[in-house]
Amino acid sequence: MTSPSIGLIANPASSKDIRRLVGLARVVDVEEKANLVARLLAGLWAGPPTRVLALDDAGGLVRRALHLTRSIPIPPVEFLPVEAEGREHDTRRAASALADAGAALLVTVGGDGTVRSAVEGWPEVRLLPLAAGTNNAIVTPVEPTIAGYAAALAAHGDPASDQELTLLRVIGGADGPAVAVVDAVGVRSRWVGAKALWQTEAFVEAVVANARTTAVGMASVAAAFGPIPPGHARHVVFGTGRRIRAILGPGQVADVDVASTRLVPIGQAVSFSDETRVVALDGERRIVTPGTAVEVATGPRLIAVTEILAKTRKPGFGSGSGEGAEG
Amino acid sequence: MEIPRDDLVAMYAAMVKIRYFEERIREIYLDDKLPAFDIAAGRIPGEMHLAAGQEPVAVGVMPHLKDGDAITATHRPHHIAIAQGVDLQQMAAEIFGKDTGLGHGKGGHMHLFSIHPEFGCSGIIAEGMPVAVGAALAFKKQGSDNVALSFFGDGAANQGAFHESLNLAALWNLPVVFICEDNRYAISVPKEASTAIADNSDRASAYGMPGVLVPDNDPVAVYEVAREAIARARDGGGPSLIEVETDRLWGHFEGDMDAYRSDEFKAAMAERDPMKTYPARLLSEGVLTPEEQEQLIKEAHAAVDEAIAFAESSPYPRPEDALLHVFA
Repeated sequence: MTSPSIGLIANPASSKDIRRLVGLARVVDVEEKANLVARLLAGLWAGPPTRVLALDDAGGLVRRALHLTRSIPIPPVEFLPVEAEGREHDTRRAASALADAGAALLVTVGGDGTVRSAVEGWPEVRLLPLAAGTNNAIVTPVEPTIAGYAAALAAHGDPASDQELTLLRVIGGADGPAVAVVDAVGVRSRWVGAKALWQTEAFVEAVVANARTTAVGMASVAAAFGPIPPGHARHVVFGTGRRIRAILGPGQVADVDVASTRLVPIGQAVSFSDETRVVALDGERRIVTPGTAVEVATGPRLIAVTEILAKTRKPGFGSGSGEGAEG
Repeated sequence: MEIPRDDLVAMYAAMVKIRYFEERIREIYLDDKLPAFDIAAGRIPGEMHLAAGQEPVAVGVMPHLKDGDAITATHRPHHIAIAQGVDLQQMAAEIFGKDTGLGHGKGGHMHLFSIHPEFGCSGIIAEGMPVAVGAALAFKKQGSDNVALSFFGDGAANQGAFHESLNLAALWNLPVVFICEDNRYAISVPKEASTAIADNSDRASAYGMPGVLVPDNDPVAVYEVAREAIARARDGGGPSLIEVETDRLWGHFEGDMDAYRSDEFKAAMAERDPMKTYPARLLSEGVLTPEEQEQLIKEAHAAVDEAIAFAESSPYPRPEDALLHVFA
């Protein structure tokens, strides 16, 4: 039996947009991202045998990581037959190719936008997203070496502990398949422009699928109304009502007025109002209305790193790293 | 913040003017030099670097400028000069080598200098970067809120002057914005064969300033990013680096066989030509009516035709004036 394959997509274009000027977001440069991939590979080797199927990304991140790990053991790494063009669709195409290749799970290196593109290409993906983006609402905040170890265990293990995410599927308006993994926000602005959202006066409404209390962005607005129950999204309509102090991005604190909220269960759709001119998916203006709606749907599965490690890192279990019973 | 209609339309008007200017210059330049390409022949002798496709980088920045701001540009300078409002007739005359030109016909198309608005360019790669830093230092010393903008190409980002300029600008917290026009080729050398990292915007972090990548050759995207970077510089926030992925639709120079770029690459550029995509959006959004568009195009073409007619009818400098207005 061959070892399960771990899909790997590192996005060289994440963490570079206007939020470095309108907020305090930082540049995650090529070396830091390559180093993150290298640590992931080292951690993968620590777990049970796997092989890696990676996108040969336009920034050469994985190739740099292979150079960084040239003198330490890592699992075998193969490149997907997908030619990277340095565009957003690289991630989508690679994720789709990984689904076809039967990869056990996917590790992304990027931000929420990277996760979104990956899910567009592979809707049922098992995900372990590492943070190298601007907003990282859907990520596993863990040292990449540990994440690699957990990914190897997850590839061999029972997916029962995975967390099921809710997904927002765009109906109408988009050229191809379009989803949001965190939020779909309707804004008055008529332009896609620099893509990011930072001008609160343009907000009309938001549908938020996943809102951890520790997440930045629109998730921080939705989280102010309590946790979103599994299988639901929260529709937030902006306007006179309750004032919320939101953390819209790194260093971006703003007060927003929320007129109403409601929970929307899986299977139902929200149509954007006429006031909405452009819909932003996971913080990036992308789709020009009219006629756009989002359907709340079952989404990808997030690998629960903490639970996997808690279950498996017991004496006598794992790869024989010498853990023993406490005396 | 919605973008004012005047800015949206002004950006398009400048784009139309730029593209038509480049098309007219190209036609005149090549007509005189073919069939056997003779670089010294014709009404516009010497090399010619045209900027069709790169209009969004220039026009997206200009609505945020004010009187007294300074710009340095490259060997491919026409789009930037036109967008800034450099006198079109004097600029055309300079390109034709005429006495009525910006530099009395002694500079040619790569050496356009204007005092109002303050514009300069050079055929030396990255030459404008330290000059912009100098202008920004002057603004700071004068206590003005003017800013300097340095346009340069992705090839220039591998020159020492790039790194020296970013270092000094950051050290002295100067009001300068560095704008990299990344068309992915330094003459015929692809960026991946000459640049150690994928995005020059990453290099900003080495000097402790914000770096932003604009991956779309879109005037509105450039407008939004430039607005923030220029406001930041004007407000004492210091320098920043913007990299715009843009398209050079034609060869590096007129007469370039352009065999180093594939047919697919060229077809993809033509497909996303901002001269098609941007007006389509203005029309569909009702920012512009077809009648207004027609009038705008007519006016822009007339201004270019007048400028070229002025250049053609102007006298050449007199031989006895060869040593006037020169410094060395």
